[in-house]
Amino acid sequence: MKKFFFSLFLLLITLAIQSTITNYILVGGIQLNLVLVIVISTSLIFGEFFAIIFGFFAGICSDFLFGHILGLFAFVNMISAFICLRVKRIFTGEHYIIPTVVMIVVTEIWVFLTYIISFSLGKEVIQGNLVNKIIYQPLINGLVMLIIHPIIKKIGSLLK
Amino acid sequence: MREVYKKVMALSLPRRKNKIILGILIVLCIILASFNLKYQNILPIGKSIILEVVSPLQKAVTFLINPFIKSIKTINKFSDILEENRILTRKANTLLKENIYLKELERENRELRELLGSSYYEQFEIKLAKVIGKAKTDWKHSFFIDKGANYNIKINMSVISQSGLIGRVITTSRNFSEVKLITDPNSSIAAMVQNSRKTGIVQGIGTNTLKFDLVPKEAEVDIGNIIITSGLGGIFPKGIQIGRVSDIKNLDYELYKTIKILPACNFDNIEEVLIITNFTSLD
Repeated sequence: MKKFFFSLFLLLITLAIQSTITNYILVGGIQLNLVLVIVISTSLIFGEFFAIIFGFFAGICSDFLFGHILGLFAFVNMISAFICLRVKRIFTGEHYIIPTVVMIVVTEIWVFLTYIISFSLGKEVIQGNLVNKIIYQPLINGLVMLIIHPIIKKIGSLLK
Repeated sequence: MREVYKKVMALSLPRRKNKIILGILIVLCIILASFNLKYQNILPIGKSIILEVVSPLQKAVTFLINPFIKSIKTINKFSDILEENRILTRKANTLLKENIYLKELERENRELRELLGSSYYEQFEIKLAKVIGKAKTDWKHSFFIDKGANYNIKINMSVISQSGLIGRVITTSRNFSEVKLITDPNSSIAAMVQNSRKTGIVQGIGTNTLKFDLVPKEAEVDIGNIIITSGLGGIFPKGIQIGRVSDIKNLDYELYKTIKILPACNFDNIEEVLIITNFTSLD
């Protein structure tokens, strides 16, 4: 129950920040995807079942606020959350850099998936924008993961 | 052997359960997307619920970060201020001369208006709203504002700023609304060139520039020309400034001119917007 309320609170705060502060945090014109960072960070802490459910609900909320097709972000966030635990299995140990590396890999997959789906739905892909997304989105997400993950991990361990 | 099998099952069952849940949710995503494509009204209903929950938080965050953002912007602008000051002084001298001439025209205009009845713009009622959040993705450009159905804000109402057109209201909840910006990739506005009165469609392309489409190759359009709403779509009132022409290309393989427009508003700096509440759209 504690985990549920914590996740709900975290998600609401993240959505509020995503639509306000992150508009000013731009690297190469690319905005930080805080929702994805939170989804991956909590997934790494709370496990596969949580990852799937939280990824789906965070995605649905993102779809309502930032998307134009209901289910797109829900699908991509859920798959990313599921994949992140598979990626994490490659690494052994608990080095603090591992979540950041996982974040970078998963963000690349997230960018790839969203563009593939948008392209197949007939959306125009702006090449320069795509290149910037491939380069900067994982970097900025990874950097923020480095700061945020230890905090969420600490709260998560208190909840456990 | 049986025990080993039991142990393996015990380990793999939760994973299999997770995979089943993942499969169900993937199917649910596909169903939701299909429903959304068929019934466009699902998204606004869910959005208004989420808006009611998230917007108070957005409002609080905006209130907290605004002083910092303003300070940073002022520091960044300081180097440009001196140069801007020099240019403005020169412009002020020119404008002073124009002002005298325009005052005379204004007087004449007022007299003519009195003869004809009320002016065009005076018929609009305008409501002020604060921008409390922004959604800027590759697929969507929108603002969240702090006025909703309680303030008589309705879908399709035009949203403007002092500089020009911003967009239109697409979702309303009781206390908050979402405004689709003119830069949104799905935005289309009937527009015309102010000088030559040639009409076309201004489309958002998901960047900070706009595309002015369906303008015949022989139409008279020059760089710097002002583009205004034509009022033909029935959503926006006629005569609101959209932006200025920044680039024109006459490509052989295109049927129409390829025109780019720089919007009149700087969408990154907008904190307050004006909503025209009494213009009845045809939708």
